[in-house]
Amino acid sequence: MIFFDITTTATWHGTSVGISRVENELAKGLSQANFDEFGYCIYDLKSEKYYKVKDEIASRILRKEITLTLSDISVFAEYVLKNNNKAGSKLKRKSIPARADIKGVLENLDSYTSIIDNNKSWNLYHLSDVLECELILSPRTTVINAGLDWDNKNIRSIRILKEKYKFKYVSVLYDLIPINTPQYLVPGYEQKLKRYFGELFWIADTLACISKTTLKDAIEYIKYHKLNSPNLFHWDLGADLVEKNDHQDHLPWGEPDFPFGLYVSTIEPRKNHRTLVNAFYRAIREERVPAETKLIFVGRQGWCVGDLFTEISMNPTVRDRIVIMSSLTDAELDRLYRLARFVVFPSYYEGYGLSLAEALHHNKACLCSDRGSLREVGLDAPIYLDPDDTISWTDHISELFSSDAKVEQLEAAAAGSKRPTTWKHSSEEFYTKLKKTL
Amino acid sequence: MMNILALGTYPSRRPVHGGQRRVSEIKKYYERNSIKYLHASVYSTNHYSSDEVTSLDYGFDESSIARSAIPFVDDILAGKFASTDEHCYEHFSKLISKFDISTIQLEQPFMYPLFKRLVDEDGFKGKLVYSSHNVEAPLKAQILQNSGVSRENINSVFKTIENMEKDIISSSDIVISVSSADSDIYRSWNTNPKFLVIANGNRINKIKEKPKGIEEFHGKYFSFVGSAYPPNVQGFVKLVVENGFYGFPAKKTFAICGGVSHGIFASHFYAPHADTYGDRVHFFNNPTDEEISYIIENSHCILLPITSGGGSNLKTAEAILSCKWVVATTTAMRSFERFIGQPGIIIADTPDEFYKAMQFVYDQPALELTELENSFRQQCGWDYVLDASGLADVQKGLI
Repeated sequence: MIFFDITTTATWHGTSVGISRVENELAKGLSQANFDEFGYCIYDLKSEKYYKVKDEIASRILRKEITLTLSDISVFAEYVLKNNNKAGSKLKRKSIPARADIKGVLENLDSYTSIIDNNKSWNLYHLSDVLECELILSPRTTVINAGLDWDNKNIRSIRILKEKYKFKYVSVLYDLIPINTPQYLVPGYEQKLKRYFGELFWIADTLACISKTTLKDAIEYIKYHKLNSPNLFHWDLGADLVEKNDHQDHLPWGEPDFPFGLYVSTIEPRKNHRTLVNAFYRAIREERVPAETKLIFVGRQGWCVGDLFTEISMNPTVRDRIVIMSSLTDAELDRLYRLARFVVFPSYYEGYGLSLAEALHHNKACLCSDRGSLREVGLDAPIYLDPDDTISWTDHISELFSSDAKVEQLEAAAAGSKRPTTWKHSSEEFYTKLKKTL
Repeated sequence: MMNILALGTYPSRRPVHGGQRRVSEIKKYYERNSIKYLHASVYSTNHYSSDEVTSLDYGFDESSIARSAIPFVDDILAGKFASTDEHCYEHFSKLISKFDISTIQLEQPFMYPLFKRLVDEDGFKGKLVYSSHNVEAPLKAQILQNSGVSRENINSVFKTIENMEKDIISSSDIVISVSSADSDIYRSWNTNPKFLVIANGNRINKIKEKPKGIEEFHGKYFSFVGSAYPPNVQGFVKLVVENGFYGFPAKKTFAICGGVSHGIFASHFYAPHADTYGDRVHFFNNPTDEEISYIIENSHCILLPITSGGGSNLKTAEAILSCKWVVATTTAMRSFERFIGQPGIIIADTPDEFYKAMQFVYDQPALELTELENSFRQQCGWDYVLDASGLADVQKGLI
């Protein structure tokens, strides 16, 4: 029996990006993977156990119709009481304990969890309507884990569970940035992630790596620590954002009426927006780019970039030429890719580089860092640059804003290259390779 | 019979820390050689109870002497007190005449002001032996720097101690150092005294039965024994903890013993992993001598991740004597250099080297030494070290 843990998808608010997208897409693909018995589960940090999710609820979660709020039932209870809705009255009558842990709640029929519909309405469900039972673990059980497990799981408790029940643990390995380049992490996070990876390599039966680069990093880690190697494989991620029929033909806030270079990524030090800002600033000062051109950054503000944001807002030369957006839907992002003159990716390190894959999927001209897995994803299509070489970025950004021929040449290279795969194919490859390890 | 009065800043009746053990072994050595060695200290009554001292020692209440705004200078204050407090001075003055003392041996430099007054006022004309435990000024400066003391105060303390040691060297008949490196420094100041190098040694106590209640280790384990002395914590954290314990299975594989435990547990590199590392590491924060001996005796390997400090390390001698695998820094092997390259002794000076050495050793069977190799390691025993030094003959030659 194979289970896919969908805790990240179930609790993720907003559009799926990065890890939440991979988990969601692979979990969706499980039903097409021809396993005799399969299901979905979530992991609860309080009871440190897996719970089987009811099939209908799992389907709604994977379609992103609903999001569960399992972590703090009392907060939701407070919300509904304040709003005096029907569910709230019911809650009041039933006297839900202020802080019920999920185990206690499951044992108590007067127990609820909240579910948020995507249209933002709240609904209250019996936990027994959402979860079927505690997951029965045995040597015949395989659990696939592809989410934000360092936040959502107690990896030590899972080791102990595994020692006891001997179930198989499969994990997606995104990268080893916390081990190899911890300077790029959220300050204070490096030890948490070191703890996670330290235990993961002892408990994983199979590690599915999202690129050859990550696979290589995993092999080096295993070799350095002289560990027994789990089964390892890599597969290609998908790059299609929306179904062909779902393309949006305009942006709700208005179409950009200027040529722009696009960078899609959380704004944090590893992603190296700094080089882009400096390069673009130089290009403007030297009057090497037309006056109407802009850069658009799509991504939420991460950590350790406060100074950069301040600098952009105070720099009269660039503050109106750099546009920062976040929380876009897939369709809106898809539209922006299509409208962009070119796409940039100056990151210092990537385990894969989903945005580059998406850009190539849109046949876009790309300027790309030569670090990490990016050459592996981009092959011959982009122009590769040293992420520290600001002058080179200035030269190429200027050229792409000025030369239609160069843009067309790179678009042709993107179209002619081995196109990044779709999520459907990605999922098929994942399960085909996974089956060989089970 | 030759009578030596040794002066120090801690009693030696019940030797626990390294300095006390060295003094205690020197006493045994002199007695084996028919030399009377009386050890007398000015000690803080806050730190030592009455059953830890003898009638030769003189206690003082820390609150009764001038306090210093600078931490970790109790030893300097004790020396000052001994030479300025009239009752205390009288106590030591009487010891000189009562025991017909012919030689004063300073165990560390801090009681030098007392010696000076005994010479100046009482007309003491005997010999002076300086028994160094470290070159003290740089060591003290390092401790103060790690404690956040201002550069101005560090410089002041450094100068005070260095000048004291320089005065001692120029007044001494014999200078005993714990390492050649220390001896070279003293010799660069003054070449008149006779210089001897006597490294620290140790004794291995064979424990027949497992002490009650002690944690049982199943399988190979590494051990590390250290006091709360900050460099012990810093060295272990830098060379062992920073690389982590995840290369070792989730079973008790490391025994950390002594006051060093608290500092390691609380370190930024350990605390976030307390539960997962706790499956691999066991702390014995206040072990008895018997428990330490048992832990060492059953270790697969002894770790000496020492990155700073001078002198020679008693723990190094203990590790070598144990005939176990040893992973040590070059610094830890100071004055034990002749053991570098011996079977089972691996030198590792960086976190990577240390980690790889531990992994290598973990994969090895228990160390087996030939009789010759074993007997070579026994040269770290206190009796061997002291008997080979020729100290008694040099002392007798002075008279």
